[in-house]
Amino acid sequence: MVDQVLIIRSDTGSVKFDSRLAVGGVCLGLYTVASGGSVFAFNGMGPGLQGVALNLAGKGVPAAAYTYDNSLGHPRFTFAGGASGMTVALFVK
Amino acid sequence: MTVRLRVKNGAQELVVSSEGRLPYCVGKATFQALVQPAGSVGAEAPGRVAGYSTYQVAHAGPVIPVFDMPIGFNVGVISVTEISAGLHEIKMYCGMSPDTDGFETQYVVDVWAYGFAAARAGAFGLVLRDADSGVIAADFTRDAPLFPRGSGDIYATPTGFSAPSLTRAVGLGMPAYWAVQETARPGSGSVADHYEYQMFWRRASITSIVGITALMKQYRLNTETPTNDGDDGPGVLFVLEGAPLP
Repeated sequence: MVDQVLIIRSDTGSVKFDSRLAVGGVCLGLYTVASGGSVFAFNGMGPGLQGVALNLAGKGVPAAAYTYDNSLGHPRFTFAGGASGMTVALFVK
Repeated sequence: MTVRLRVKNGAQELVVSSEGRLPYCVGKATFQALVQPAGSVGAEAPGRVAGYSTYQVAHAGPVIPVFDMPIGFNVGVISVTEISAGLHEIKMYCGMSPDTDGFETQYVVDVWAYGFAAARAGAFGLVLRDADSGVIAADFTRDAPLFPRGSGDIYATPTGFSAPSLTRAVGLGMPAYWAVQETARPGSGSVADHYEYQMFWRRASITSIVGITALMKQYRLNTETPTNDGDDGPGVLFVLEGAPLP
């Protein structure tokens, strides 16, 4: 069976997106961590994905302030109170 | 019945999903100012401060900066601030050739902003909507949807990672590591030097990206208790093909 492939071309024919060349990394959106911490869970997405979080204001997301797990069978990002106020971009792959 | 679209690449990694929110290039950030390192390391705070360059872009929602990665330059995002409603200022580090104190000369770098669409751009073409909320999940009618060609994590592989050979490699990622070190001067009693570092990236060659530590600030401090501080966390960088960007 051939794998499904998605190729998007612009109206001049140049390739805007090619799923064979793309590396893993689907953005789930931008979220702001509430004071006291926040949990962002995506229950439609299923198991088996790895999570990535970027802090949009600069500096990284400290390892101590966030965890990612699949224990519920879908992606879940947990941010501790130390990250409150941060706007983060969440990705899974 | 809920219909979802998920596309994986050959390595079975998820690359498109109707449950995601695909950012697209909302425009090129306009250059504002280039500031070189200034001050003296022997002075008290702030002492000598690293240079930077600033850029602005207008977009109604939050933006993700994407920056050029010219070979041999140390480059990364220092901060992104919404300075007024819908106007974002991106402060960048792009340096080379450290001076005798270790502060690098700063250069202007190309910066773009990626953001999200509230409405589709074109009448024809593929748009995916979230099956539950109806919100646009991916608008492929936009000119430059996020299309990562490579990625790596400096936290997981501190020696660097390989990037695909692209016409123009541009990066999407935020620095993962910062540190403050205070070192007492030998025999000086209570005088210490305070150093602040931040991690950025360097495209060491066409296909290799490494993490580097840049000196951001240094000053003299009167203290009997020098203290260190810092943080280290995941440092993922996505590498995109920048050739079609404005």
